Amino acid sequence: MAGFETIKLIPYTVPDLKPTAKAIVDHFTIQGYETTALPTISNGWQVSLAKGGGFKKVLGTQMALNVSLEARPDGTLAKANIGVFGQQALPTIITAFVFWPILLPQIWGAVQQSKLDDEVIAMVERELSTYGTAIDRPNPYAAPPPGAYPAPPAAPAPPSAAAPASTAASAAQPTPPPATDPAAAAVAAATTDRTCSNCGTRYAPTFKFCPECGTKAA
Amino acid sequence: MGRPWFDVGSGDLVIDRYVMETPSYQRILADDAISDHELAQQAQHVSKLLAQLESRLPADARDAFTDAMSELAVLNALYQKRLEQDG
Repeated sequence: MAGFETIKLIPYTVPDLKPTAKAIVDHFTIQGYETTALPTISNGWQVSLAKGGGFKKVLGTQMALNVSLEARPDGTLAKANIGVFGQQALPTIITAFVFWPILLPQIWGAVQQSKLDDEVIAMVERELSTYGTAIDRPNPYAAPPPGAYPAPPAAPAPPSAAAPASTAASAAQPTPPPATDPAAAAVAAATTDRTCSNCGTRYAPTFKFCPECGTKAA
Repeated sequence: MGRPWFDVGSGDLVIDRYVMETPSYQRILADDAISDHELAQQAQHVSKLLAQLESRLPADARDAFTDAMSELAVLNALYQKRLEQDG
């Protein structure tokens, strides 16, 4: 049941999940858990964890935290939920039990209190990031592909010696940008409107001396 | 002294233990095939137990039990709906 499970998609893959399942078994067996691992029909693995009084029996059936691992195109799906120890599906005798909807939240609450689900998912994540291959995900900061946005308007042509005669008189002075672009005009004006009286070097109006010959700005 | 419904230490509901001790449950386990006759027989058995309880319980206890049974029925309906929702 979706409300009583912890799910995480881990962006790593391994060719075979069996070593990961074995690592979970080893880790929790050392901690005194009863453990078992079974392959699933979807080429994944399921590990069952139970510990003494931590997991009660329901109608004589040993409940457990079942952790399933399944390969996905975008990583490995790890899912921890309440189930029967060593079984991949809850039997009808449990799910149809009139008190099961009371017992399920109780058992899940005990799991969450001990953070067992978090511990096992974190362990799977460590295993996969150590031994697995990272799945490439789209980088949100990467440059957009060509054509993703409309092309910017063409930049105005720089002043040229081959300018038409009608503009030749203004060629000696910096050519102002088109009046339709005030920002560009301001930049152009701020950077080109001063010329050294000694050597003819053009420089920004903020300069007090010519950067080329040192003549004081007029 | 009546059997407790909850474990004193953990607070867990323990009614499933009593369920396992009932002859009717043991019959189900002994034979997985459930016939119409078995269903009808169990329904009749439950009705009889409820009728006995109704006649024995004082009014306030009967009301409390009615409330608990009604809310349990609601919980089961919710659970089934949630299972449908999850597919």
